[in-house]
Amino acid sequence: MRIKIQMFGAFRVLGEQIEVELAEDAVVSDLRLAMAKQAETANLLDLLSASKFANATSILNDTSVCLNGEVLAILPPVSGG
Amino acid sequence: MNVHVEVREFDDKAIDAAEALAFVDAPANGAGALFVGVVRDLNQGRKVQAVSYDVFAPLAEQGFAEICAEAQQRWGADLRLFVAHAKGRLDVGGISIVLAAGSPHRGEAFAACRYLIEEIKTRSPIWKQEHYVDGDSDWVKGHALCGHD
Repeated sequence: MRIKIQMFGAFRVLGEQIEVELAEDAVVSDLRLAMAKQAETANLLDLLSASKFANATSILNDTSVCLNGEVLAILPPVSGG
Repeated sequence: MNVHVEVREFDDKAIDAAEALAFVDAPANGAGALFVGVVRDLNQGRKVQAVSYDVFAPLAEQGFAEICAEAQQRWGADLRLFVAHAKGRLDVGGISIVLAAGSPHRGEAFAACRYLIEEIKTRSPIWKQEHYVDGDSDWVKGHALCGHD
């Protein structure tokens, strides 16, 4: 299945959005692994491990199931206010 | 409706403290507490020219509403609360966030306002990219978020 990931914060160096291909039974930890190569290229591997994934209503845990075609967001450590 | 939350694009109308105080005002209220966050010109020894705020708006606004509900649980359902956070690039002196809490008494208003800013800073999907006078830019290191099952 294919998942789109919106980039935020320091991950914007990778673009507005990236798309990854995952197995049908993939969970969020698989998504993190799928992003590792691109993150490493941009020197963002440590930030990737400290980041969360989310949909428009919830922050997801690594065991959350991914759904084909969904659009998620990567959320690095936050610094608002 | 006694809560207002929003993420506002900088290109839209600038966030206004008077607007926040007007929203939390009510005949029963004897207190209105206000917090205004602005871009300062120095951080970690580096001279700052501007800050870009990146925001995942739908989740941020939902989180603001949850934090307001928590404040009302703690300090009273009659609290009137206003939260607005900027999105986009702000120069030094620009207003990044305005919070206001209106309550019959000052203790609850001050406490709620403080609660809002502290929780927003650690829980909201918002990121700051500082632009320095020397031309360099950097994302501010922040707080890791917690997930939920």
